[in-house]
Amino acid sequence: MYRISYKAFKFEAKDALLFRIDPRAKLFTALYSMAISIIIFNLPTLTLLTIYLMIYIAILGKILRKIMRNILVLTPLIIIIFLANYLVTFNIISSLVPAIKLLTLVLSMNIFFLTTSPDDFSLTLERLGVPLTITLAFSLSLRFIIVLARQLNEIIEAQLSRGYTLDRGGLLQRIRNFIPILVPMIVLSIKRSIDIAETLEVRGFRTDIKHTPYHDLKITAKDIVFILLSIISMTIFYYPLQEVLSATFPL
Amino acid sequence: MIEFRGVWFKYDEEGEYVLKDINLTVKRGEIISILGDNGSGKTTLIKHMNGLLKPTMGDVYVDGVNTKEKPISELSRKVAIVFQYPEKMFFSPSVEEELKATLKNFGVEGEELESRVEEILEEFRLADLRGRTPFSLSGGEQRRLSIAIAFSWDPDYIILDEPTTGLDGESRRDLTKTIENVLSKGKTVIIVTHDLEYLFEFAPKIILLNQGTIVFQGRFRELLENNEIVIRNGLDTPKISMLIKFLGSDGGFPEIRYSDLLSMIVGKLGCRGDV
Repeated sequence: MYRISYKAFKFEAKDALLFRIDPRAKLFTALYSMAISIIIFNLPTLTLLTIYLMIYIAILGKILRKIMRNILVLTPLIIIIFLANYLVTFNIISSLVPAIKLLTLVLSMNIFFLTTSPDDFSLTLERLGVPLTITLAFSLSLRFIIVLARQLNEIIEAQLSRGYTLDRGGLLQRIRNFIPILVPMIVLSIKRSIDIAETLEVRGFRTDIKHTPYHDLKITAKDIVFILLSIISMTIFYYPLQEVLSATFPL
Repeated sequence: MIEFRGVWFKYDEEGEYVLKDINLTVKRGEIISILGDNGSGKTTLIKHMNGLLKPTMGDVYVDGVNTKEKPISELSRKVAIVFQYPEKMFFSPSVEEELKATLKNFGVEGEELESRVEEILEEFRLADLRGRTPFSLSGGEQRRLSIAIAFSWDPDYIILDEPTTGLDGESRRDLTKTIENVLSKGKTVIIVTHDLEYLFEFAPKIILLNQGTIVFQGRFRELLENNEIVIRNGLDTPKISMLIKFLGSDGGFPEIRYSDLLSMIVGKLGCRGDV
């Protein structure tokens, strides 16, 4: 019951097209898809785009189940956005638009984030000109979400085993209950970061020279075709589909 | 008494069973060792004993109480687990504070608290370290402190998960003394390990796990006599058994029977007697 699930953060490579496409092409497509979902304001078009993106990811990435799980986690946020808008505008349609927009934005981001390994991710940033120290910090923190979640679970188990409870007392007491979990968490994380730094140094890692990756990124004809088809298919939603739909259903 | 009745367990709905049809009984005052190679389900098994995990099928009873019916905060009063990496449980600025915090959590206060802390510090030879940060202690000292913490609220069952990992010779001897001390109080000690060598100190009752199933349950000596079981389940044959075997057959002493020598040596080393 206290177990923290870290499945959502775990990268699993699938045998699907999206996993074989160059990460830069995926990043571009994801950003384009986000832009499209921002500029569409017609509710039926937005709904169709959401369904399209789901099918797109399900077929090209074979990760529908994972995405459904992420959407389930997001549901409370989507409901809050809808309610907050409704309380201001008292218009169901115009409150639904931002709520669904969040969904399309998340789906768009997933085109890149759920299909790119932490390694490829940092490599992408590096090839886009981000300094190595920053990309390294970025990929390490992504990678260590799982490790830290596991550590958190173990700390919680250790404290429960010595009789501590998390859900006891009033608000102040409940905050205090977290001290036995936070302190070891922080101390062990600092220790771990020192260990990682030492390990990197021992293995001759330097940031002041240009390093050559084991796998380099390469844009091929396949990636170009992927970008073009994705962009064309997504643009259709903005024009002419939105035009047509807003004429028939002016929502 | 801790009792497992037909316990099956899996972490995920979709996953495989990590424990399969576990039936076992741990009596009071016993010393028991749960053996098995990596991933055999040892740690999962002990997490059932204080209710951290509840069985998917079957029941676990601690002194007649079903673990499904009581929260961990109550079960942990009776069953204490010391996990493999003790530093995961420390959060106080000093060893003394760490013990005080534990006891306060169990409702011990005032003079009783002070005297109990002193008693524990003395008993576990931590008095010299009382002002030190728990994180700054050596591996052996941390282990000693974690056992002292588990012992402080007077549970009936103390479970040690891989207690010898990363300990040097002196710390191991320290640990042995600590465990003997706990046993002498009539407590039940359960040692989870894959270090057969260390068990010669106690010659405990053995529960051997392999892929979530109990493959052997019996006395320490019986396990040593069946060396194939040891090998087949991914454990190391203790050096001493190898020596005895060597002396008995190839070493030119065919008249010496393996089992006789074994019981002689285990009897000499094993202080529990029940070999």
